[in-house]
Order: sequence, then C-alpha cells, then structure tokens
Amino acid sequence: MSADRPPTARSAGRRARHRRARFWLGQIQAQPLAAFGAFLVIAWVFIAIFAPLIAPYDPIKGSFHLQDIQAAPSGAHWFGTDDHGRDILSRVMFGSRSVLVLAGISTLAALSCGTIVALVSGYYGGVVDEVLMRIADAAMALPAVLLALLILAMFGPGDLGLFASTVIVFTPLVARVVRSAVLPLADREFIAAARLRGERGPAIMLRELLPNLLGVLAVEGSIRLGYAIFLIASLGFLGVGVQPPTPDWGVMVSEAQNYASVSPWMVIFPALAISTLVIGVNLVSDGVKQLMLSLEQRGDDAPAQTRSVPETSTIPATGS
Amino acid sequence: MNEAPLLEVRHLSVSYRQGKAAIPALRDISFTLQAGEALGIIGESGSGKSTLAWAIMRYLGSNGRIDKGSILFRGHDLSRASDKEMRALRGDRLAMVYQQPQAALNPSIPLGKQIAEVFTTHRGIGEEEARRRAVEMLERVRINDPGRVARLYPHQASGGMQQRVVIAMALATEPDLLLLDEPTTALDVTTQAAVLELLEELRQEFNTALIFIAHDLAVITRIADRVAVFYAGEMVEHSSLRDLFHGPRHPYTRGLIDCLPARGSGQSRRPLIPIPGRLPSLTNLPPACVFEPRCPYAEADCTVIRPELKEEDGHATRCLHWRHLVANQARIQATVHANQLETESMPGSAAPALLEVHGIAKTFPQGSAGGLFKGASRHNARVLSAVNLQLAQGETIGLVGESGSGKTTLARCVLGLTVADEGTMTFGSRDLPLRLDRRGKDTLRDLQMVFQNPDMSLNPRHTIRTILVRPIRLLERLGKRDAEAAARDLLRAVNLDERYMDRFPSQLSGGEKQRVAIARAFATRTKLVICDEPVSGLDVSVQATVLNLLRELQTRWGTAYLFISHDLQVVQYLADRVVVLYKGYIAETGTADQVYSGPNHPYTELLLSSVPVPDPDAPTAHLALYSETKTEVLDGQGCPFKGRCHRHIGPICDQVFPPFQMVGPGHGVLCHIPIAELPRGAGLGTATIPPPGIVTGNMEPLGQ
Repeated sequence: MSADRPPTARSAGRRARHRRARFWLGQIQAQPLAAFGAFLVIAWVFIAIFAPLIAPYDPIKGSFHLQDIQAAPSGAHWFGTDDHGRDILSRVMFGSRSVLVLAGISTLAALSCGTIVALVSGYYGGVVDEVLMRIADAAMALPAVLLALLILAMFGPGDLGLFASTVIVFTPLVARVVRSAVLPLADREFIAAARLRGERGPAIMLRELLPNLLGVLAVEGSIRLGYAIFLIASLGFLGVGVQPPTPDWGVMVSEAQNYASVSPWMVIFPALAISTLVIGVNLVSDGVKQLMLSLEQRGDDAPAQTRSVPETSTIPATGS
Repeated sequence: MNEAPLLEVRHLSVSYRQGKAAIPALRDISFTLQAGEALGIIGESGSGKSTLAWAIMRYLGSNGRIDKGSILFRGHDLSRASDKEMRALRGDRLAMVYQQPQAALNPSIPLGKQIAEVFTTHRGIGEEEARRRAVEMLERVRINDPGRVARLYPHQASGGMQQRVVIAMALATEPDLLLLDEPTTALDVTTQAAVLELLEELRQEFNTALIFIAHDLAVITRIADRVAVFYAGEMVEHSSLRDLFHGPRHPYTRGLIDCLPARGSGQSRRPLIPIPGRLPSLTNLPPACVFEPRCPYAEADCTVIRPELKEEDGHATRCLHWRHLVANQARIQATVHANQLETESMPGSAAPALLEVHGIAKTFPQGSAGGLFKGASRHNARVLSAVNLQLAQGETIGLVGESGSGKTTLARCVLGLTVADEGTMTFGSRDLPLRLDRRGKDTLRDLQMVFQNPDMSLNPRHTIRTILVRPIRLLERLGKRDAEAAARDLLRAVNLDERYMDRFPSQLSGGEKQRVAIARAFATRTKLVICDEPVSGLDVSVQATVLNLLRELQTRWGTAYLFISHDLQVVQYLADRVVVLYKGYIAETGTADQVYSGPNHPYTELLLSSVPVPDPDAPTAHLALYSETKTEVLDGQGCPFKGRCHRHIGPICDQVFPPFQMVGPGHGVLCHIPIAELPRGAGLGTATIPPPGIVTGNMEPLGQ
C-alpha cells in the first residue's frame, strides 16, 4: 500500500479505474470458459427480449398445409416445424422468455427468502436455528420434482404455481449454504462490538452480516439460476408447468417425444436450447466463484470479505 | 572437530514472483554457523526471517526463487541440490519446527506413530523397533507416561505437548541443524517457558546446531549464542548475544530493545519508545539505507550511500553512523526519561468505585451444545467460580492468566456479551444487569471493549467512517454532521490522519487497525474500556505505540481499564492492580508492585518466572518445564492448582479448598502455605533460582 505519500485524488481515481479495467481484462483472459458461458447467457437474454422482432414466424399460429407439418429443417424453417406446422426456431426463441423470466424471478425470490432464513438462523442460533434447520431438512428430504409437484397440485398449473414451487424447493437449499457462511461471521467480534453499541438483531443482520455475504450470494444465486431453469423445464415436460400453446422448452420436448424417431429435430432443438442456457449459467457460476476467490486474494481496493466461498451443495435440482 | 562450518550462507538473495513483479524478500544475506551453535534471528513480520528458513529447507514454494548466492551445508550447495537430494536431507540432517504444532501434526494419526514414521522413513527401521524408539523420543522431550501419550491423537494433547512432540519428531534423527520458526509464539507464557527450557536442555544433549527465528528479543536470550537482526530483507546487525544487548550498533536494534516495557517494579513506568513509521514495502524500498525513513539518527548521507554490513570486533552492522549511535546512546536515553516521567497515573485507592463484581460464576455446557439430542453423560466446564472484583474510576486492573483461566469470559460477563450464571454487578451507583439487552443506552455508553484481533473486530465491509460514526450516532444521539466531526476528533486522538475516514480496514496496517478499534471503544467518552490482549497480535515496535496510546487516552479522559493479557510485562507497564486468575479462581490480587515483589501464590511465581527476560545475564528459574510435565487434576476437591503446583505441601492441598490469605493491605493469595513461607521476590529482574529439589518433582514441603 502506498499510504505514505498521498497521490492527488484525481490521479488516484484514474489509477484505480485503470487497475480495475486491467483486473477485469485479466479475469476474462484467465477464465475463457466463464466468458463463453456469459456469451451464451447474454445471447439468450438478447433473444428473449427481441423475440418478436427476430423470430421469423408466429410461435403459436400453426399451418394446415401438409408440407408444413413436421417439416425437416430447411431454408424456410431452419429448425424445422412441429406436428401443428409451427416453426420450431420461433417457438424456441419465444420459449426462452417464460424460462428466463420465471427462473430469474423465482431464483431472486428464493435467494432472498433463503438469506433471511439463514441470517435469522445463524445469528440467533439455539432453538430458532434448530427449528428452522429441521424444517429445511424436511423440505430437502423430498426429491425436488416431487416437492414441486405437490406444491403445483395446491396452486394448480401455471406461472404462479411454478414460481411458488421453485421458491419453496430452493429456499431451504439457499438457507443451508448461506447459513454456513453466516455462522463464522456471527462469531466475529465486530458482531460483539455492534451488540455493545446497542444495535438490534435486524440491524446487525442487515448492516453487519449481509454486506459480508455478497460473494456467497453471487455464487449461490448463479448456481440456483441454473437449477431453476432446469426445474422449470422439467415441470413443463411433465405437463404441469407452462401451459400450451404458450411456447415452452420443456413442453416442446414432452410433446415431441412421440415423434422423436420420425422428426428428431422436434426434440433436439428445444433440448439444445435448455442445455446451452443451463451450461452457460453454470460456466458463469464457476467463474463467479473463481472471481470471488481472486478478489479475496487481491483484497486491496475491493475488500471482498468472502473468506468462505462454501462448497455449494451439489444436490441435483431434479431428483430422479 | 570438523574445521569447516556446518552451514555457510553466502550472499543469498531470494525473491518471490507476483504476477510480473519480483518481490525481493531477502537481499545479500551472509553468515556461517558452526556445528552445535545456536543462531537467533530477530525480525518483525515481513523482515524475511521465515524466507531464510524456507530457503535453507528449499521449501520456497512455486513462486519463490533463489536469485543469487549459495547455501553451503557441510560444503554441499543446497541452492543447487536436486529435489531427490533435498528429500534425503530434510527430516534427516535438516529438520524444522513451525509455529503452529496443530498444523504440523496429522490429526488422524496417533502421536507415537507419527514419530515412528520418521524412523521407518529415514532409517528403514522395522515397525516394532520404530515404535519403541518413538516412545523413547517422547521420554526425551520430558513427556510423562510416554507409552500412553504415544497412543493419543493430536487433538487430545495440549498445545505444549503437541509442540514437544513436533520437536521430538525433528530431533528423532539427531539432525545437524534444527530450524525453529517462532516455535513458541502460539503458546501460553508458561508453555513457552517450558519449551524454551526444553530446547536449552536438548541442545546440550543432541549437540544440534539451531537457527531460532523469533520476533521478540526476549525469547532467544536463553538459547542463542549469536543473534542476527533482520529488517526488510536485509541483515542489519549480527553479533554475539551479549554484545547485541549491551551495545547495539544499529538504530533498529536499539529501537527494538527500547520499545519493550521495562523490567523491575511498577514505578518505572516510563512511556515506551516506539519505532516510528512502518516497514517499507518490499517493492518500493528506500534507495540507500532501508531503515532510513524510520531512523531517528538518520543524516543526509543515509539517503544516498548504501551502507554495507561492516564487521568490527566480531560485531557486524549495516549502518553508516553506528559509532555516533553508540556514543550518544546514554545521552538520548536520559532525555527521554526526563521528558516522560511526569505522566504518572493516580493510584486507585482514593477514587470512588466504578465497577463492583460480586460472585460472578459461569459454567459452559460441554459436548454438542444446544442440540435437540443432548447426551446425558456430558460434564460441564466451570469457567468462573464466584469471582469478586472492584475497579475504581480511572484505575487499571491487569487480568493475567493462561488460556483457559477464564479471563476473557470474565470480561465478556462484565460486558454482558456472555450472561453470567450467578452473581451481581454494580456500575457507579447503578445496578449492572447481567444480560446485555437489559442495559440502557447510558450503560452501553460507559462500557466498551477493545478486542484482540482488529481483523475480527472491524467489519471489513465498513469504512472507518461508518465504524466510528455509527456508535456516536446510536449512543450519543448526535446529528450526522456533529457525529462526523466527533469521529474526526477521535481519529486524531488516536494519531491517525483524517484521510483514513474513507478507507476500509483492509487498507490499514495491523497497528492502524487496532488504533481504529481503540477509537471506536472511546467513541462515547467511555468510563470503562475492557482491553482483551489488544497488542498480542501486533509487531513489537507497533505494540509500544498502541500501549502508549492507551495510557495517553487514560490520562486525558480518566478512563478505567480492565486489561487482559498473558504478557506480564505489558500488564506491569499499564496496571495499577493485578488480578491473577487460574481456572476461574482468583489466585492472587494486589497492587502491581505487591504482585511483582511478592510474597506470591505459587502460580504467580510460575507466571513471573516464565516471562522471557530480555537480558542474557539475568538469573533464570526453571519452574515452567516442571509444571508443564505435570497434569492438572480437576476433581473439584482441594486447591485448583494442586496438580501443577511445585510447592505442594501435602494432603491439605488435595482435600481442602485453600483460604484467601491477606498478605498485605489489598494483597491476597489463595493458598495453604503460611504467609511467611510463600515464595518471595520472583518478580521480574530478581528471579530467584528455586531449590533444586522442585525440578525433579519433589513433593516435600518447601520451607525456607
């Protein structure tokens, strides 16, 4: 640290910016896979936003011309058509919307709920912790899809049910991971110092603990997003998620399974869409984890206090 | 005798690569070591002292490199040896002991087997024979009942025992050279003294050459023949132990000696003389003399001419003006004394009582705490037993004891962070509730704490501004602007620049962080500040600054301190009264002078004799190793110290709880020994060598 001779504020600012730019450039160089993952995710987000402009056909309105039914990929239909004569490319493009929006919102909600549970549980400890964690354990004991099906049975199929089931399935998982990051923090003496100046529990959780969890939350959020996409697609496949005729990747795969041998493109393209997005999210998630570690090691002008980027639980979101 | 030196390091330079930059960690180091000789290496963190040890062991890691020079071990250059050759040498001819014994031992292998592996690996000895020899080694490092200890796993042994096992492993092959990297830093004072005593004895038995690395001059005085002082990767002074203490030639060495709290009775409480500034960054070193920016004796040419390590009468120094320093030493010291003697704090007897603690007790349940499935066979750990304490306004009480003595728990109970099981407390005229959440803002304002490790006590995500402004706004109910102004005043009061307001703790050095933590504790004109080992994590030269600051703030604001430390010299420097805790009992209490001059509790005697004395000619007592080899007896009967006591006087100690005898006004001792026969004069500087009988574990009454 060059604390001895103060640089002028402006040159210090420029230097800091320069250093930050070099740092990010270095990160991209160091993590080409994560950069590729980010490209995939950004591409899907772009497609989702501009689907109405770039999709060549209407995703819902089919065609009754015989030559358009289950047509193989061609110049007119790049990804071919389905049994209703609908353009698969357009349906895949529009299908990204429901998945991204639903998965994004429900991941954020699960992350928030899980963090609140983790903070309360980790900070107060004792009986509160015991009760909350046993409930979480009970929820985690059920296979994710089974639990989601139960919840969907209560809410009925549709967006609300999907949202609720994703949040309820993921909240205990997030809570478990974040709590393990809260526990060592709660023992730190800055928490004792906060109590000594009369801070209340909620203030300690928000002001003292939460800022130190941002690294863990970034990692956890990106992992959960991947699982959420997967779960929503799986529920669509089972017919309890997004309802036809709204284009949805899971629904498309499920509808196509009867024709898989005759028109494999009906299965392949939506399946490819799911896997590219999930792989992209997972690569980004690995990159975020690496980034947090290197920020921690650099630790000068960005004090990322993520001492413990925990090994995230590797329970597959979709139980067998 | 072999004529050639055992180890000869010639012009050694080591650097670490970090990205594209190379950090020169060691520059041009040369020294020789004869067989059986002990070299002490002194330096603060970042001085390169550990790098030297790793370079000799060739454990520099993937980014470290020996740039220049050679390391001749028995005439064989280690810097060019192949990995295979090094593997054969390490653990056989060369051995190393690290700071953390827990980290050096494999937690899943019994201690005896770990030592036996040294024999099977390096000597090709059969399992049975290796096991027998391992037990023998345990015996040689003075472990009682070695057969039983050999079957223990590391976590079942105490820290001192673990370190002795590591030493046994290192010495198992009777190496020519043993490197010790701060082997006692992580241990209690008494354990440290025991390990030092052991090393002193083993050196004779094994005739092993030692390189003993330490940050503290006092630690090596009993072991080293010669001392090398390292600063910022250079050797700045190198001489025999006595020459170094009696006539240091480098200003840095002078500073290291001056910044230690003085020995002797409590009256000589002159402020410490810290070394100003901090270690230069290794990537941005001063052009000529590396110590010049911090040197009080620096002259114009010090920034131009690079000093060489010059030797005269076997005493080498890297300073252009060392003659000047030696000549002026007496004069400079005298002026420092005259200037700073008047800051004498008032004695506590006249001042009204501030804090009164009556019968505070705390028991922690052991085993799986708080689980739904609580086991029935758990036993509880009693950490505090009916402790009484009075503290007057503006007074400082030093709370001393080993780890596990309950000193931190007592502090936390006073603060309400830990809720005491029983007892009452009053603060001023008010009752002090045991629970923190029952205390009002007025009480919170009056009681604050400085924690041991500022890395843990400052939120890394908050700026210094937030850290200081928040308590002011919360407890003083000041507006934003007033609180900011008050925070700036506080920062100035702890001698930090206002520029620090917008920095994060990670951008500050250890000493600066601790000063911020102190500023926070004083944010509300606090009446009582509890300091839990506030300097034990800091470098020696920085400790002095922080201790001086604490005294300065006390004289300015009349704050009372409850000062917890394992370091009796630090306590002696600050405290008006001393409370010695052992296993949750007050073993002795009295004014600092009373406690340091005796008569003492045997435990206090042990503590006092364990403090390393930075004077090679001071007489030394050998109590610690005896006590360390004894095991505590915790059957709840008789005296809590009976198991380890070297002055045990018979069955009464085992059966009857000792009385708290008053040996002077305000000076009490929890012991059965008649007052006239209690050990006296074990105080620092006048340590008496106890009768030889006690070293061998004599259980007879020891009268005068």
